[in-house]
Amino acid sequence: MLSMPHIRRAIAYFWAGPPDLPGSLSLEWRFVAVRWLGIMFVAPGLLLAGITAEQRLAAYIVLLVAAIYNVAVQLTMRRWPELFVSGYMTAIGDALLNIAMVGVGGGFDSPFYYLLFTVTISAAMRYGYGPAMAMVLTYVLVDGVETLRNYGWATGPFIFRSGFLFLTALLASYLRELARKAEIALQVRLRQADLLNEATAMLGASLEFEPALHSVVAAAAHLFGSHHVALLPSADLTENQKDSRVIYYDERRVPSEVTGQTEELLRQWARHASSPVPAGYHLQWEAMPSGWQALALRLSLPTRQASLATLAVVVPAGQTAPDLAPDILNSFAERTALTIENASLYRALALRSVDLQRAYGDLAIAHQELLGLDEMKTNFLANVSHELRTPLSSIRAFSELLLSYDDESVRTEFLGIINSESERLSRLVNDVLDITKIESGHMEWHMDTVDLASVLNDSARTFTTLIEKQNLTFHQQIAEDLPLVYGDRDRLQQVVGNLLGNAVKFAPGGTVTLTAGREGDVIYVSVSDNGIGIAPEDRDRVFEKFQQVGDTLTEKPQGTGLGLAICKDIVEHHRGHIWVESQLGSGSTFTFTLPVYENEAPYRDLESGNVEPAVARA
Amino acid sequence: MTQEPSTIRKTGPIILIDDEPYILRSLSYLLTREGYEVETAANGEEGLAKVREIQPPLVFLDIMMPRMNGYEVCEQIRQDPNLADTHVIMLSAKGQQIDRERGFLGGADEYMTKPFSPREIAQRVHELLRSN
Repeated sequence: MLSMPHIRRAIAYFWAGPPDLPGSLSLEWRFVAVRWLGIMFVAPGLLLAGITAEQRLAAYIVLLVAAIYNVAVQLTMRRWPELFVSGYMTAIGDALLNIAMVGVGGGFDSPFYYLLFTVTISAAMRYGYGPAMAMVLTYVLVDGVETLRNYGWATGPFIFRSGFLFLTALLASYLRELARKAEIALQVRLRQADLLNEATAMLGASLEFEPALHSVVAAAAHLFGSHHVALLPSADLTENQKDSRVIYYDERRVPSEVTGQTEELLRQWARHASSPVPAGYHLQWEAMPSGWQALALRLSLPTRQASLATLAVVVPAGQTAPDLAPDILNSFAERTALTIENASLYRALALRSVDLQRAYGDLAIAHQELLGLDEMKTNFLANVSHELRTPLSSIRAFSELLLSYDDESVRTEFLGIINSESERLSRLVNDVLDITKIESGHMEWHMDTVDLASVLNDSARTFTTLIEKQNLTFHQQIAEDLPLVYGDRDRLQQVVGNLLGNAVKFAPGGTVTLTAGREGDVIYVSVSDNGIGIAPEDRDRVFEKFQQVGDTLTEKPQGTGLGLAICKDIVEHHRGHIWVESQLGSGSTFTFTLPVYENEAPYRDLESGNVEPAVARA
Repeated sequence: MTQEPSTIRKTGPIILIDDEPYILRSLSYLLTREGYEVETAANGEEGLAKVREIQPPLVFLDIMMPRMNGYEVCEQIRQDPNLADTHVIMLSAKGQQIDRERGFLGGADEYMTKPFSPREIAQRVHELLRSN
């Protein structure tokens, strides 16, 4: 029993032919199938038709011939396809079969003749002028021979029907040609649209500038079917020399930089093509001296005044330049222009974002610095507050206690403490004011030439009483011909006083030495003691504000914690340096230097508080 | 051993820990006048040793001191089970809110700032030791 799939396969074979049948023969196969259908319908129909037995026999013979013809065609079609593709074979074969049918039906004068019109139109629509004319010629030839045999000459009806048959074939063939041309045009158009789609799909793979340019070159190479495509970005897109080069799609189908003669050729062409036309595109292929053909597309956008780039396509001599429709070219130019524009915008954006990030980084650093300054200020205030509260506490407590104690010696002790703590308080206030003024640039400096030797002697004299009271040994070694310095005498005296005060404080019962001399361009002043000394880790901190260093197990130092910071500020304002050398347990030496005064000029800017560390030339 | 610990401590000395000699001296005078016994120490380490030895009912504690600051001393006192009944008054020149909070967090019973009022000090000491 035949199953449904078998039947379906048999019908498919009957109508469409074997699966491996070439596409050019499928129409031919279908006509064979139509002939088989005709035979199958006509064969039983002949039994019912009111015709003579002779006629019926002749008709069956014709049908038999048709069947044999069909089998022959089906067998030979695949072996010699060119025989059938042209259509001549089929047209003439069909013509002979139809003549036989007409003969059976009553000859050329019978109404059966109309069958020939149908078949002629069908052949003309299938194969065009040639086979249709061949068919008509076959009819006319057989008809003519028959007419001559029957009438002896060409009759009117023969000439009339032959003429019409010829005209019909001509018209049908013409219509067929029109339809074919339209179809070919449509196919070309579809192919170009496909190409455009494929080419534009290659664009926009990347927003990065370089890969985007490469994708444009590759897309153009695909669209024009040429390896010789070059892209010349316009001047305002190119940020450096590297950007202005021609990107070229070479034989290996790899976008690369083109060099040598080809580059020069493309560059010249691109310049030539882009210069005379202010906007729009060159759509005409132009012949180049070498016999090559060249086309240039100016890639521009309505939103942009200047063009973005010029795309040069070159077809070597001997190859056909693809004839792309203008709208396809326009569309391609527009899309590539957009790709380049986007990539260039993206690049600008990326650069901008790098700038912004850098600016943000700078801002963050500045912010941190400000926070640091703010913290320093807060710490300073907290320290000042702390240092003010301590002597205030003593003053307040002992003032109150005074009332409860009648003993004169105790009251004297209390008053002594109140007095010394008040002094400490006023020292602190003065120091805070000094350092604030210096560091905010509001200090009034009374700059003049200063004899440093007299400053040192005055300071030493001030300390004589204290030195004697503390049972100290004091040495003084001041060079005789100490040159002048330029500075504020009172402030310099303050520096020396602070240093001597520190030495006396930390070297009870020891030795304090004051030394001064000249060394090259500078005068140095040293204050040494053989006191408790400063630990190495504390040496840098002694010049910082409120850093009272050391181990104060026995007696709390009575300083403000600002003395050395003020010394440093004053010395540095005079373009000097201050430092300490110390050995823990065996004493410290504080030294500062000042530039020797030679003439006034190098110091002029000191008046305005401009502290540049520079030493005057000797 | 039948005596209550609090009665012993009430009579024990108050320990003052501060690196400012005049503060120590003024507090000593003040508390002596009020009838308390007083011991002093000039830095954190020495102070803590004295506190552990004497187990006083009350400690006055400065914050910014050499050799162990007041916060550390307070922490050590609070971690010592023998000193569970010891009160701590922090007496500092650090007057900001954050310093007070840190003092209380570290286990201080009271936080007083310099310059202090002697009368107020005496009053707080009476209160703390009476409630014991």
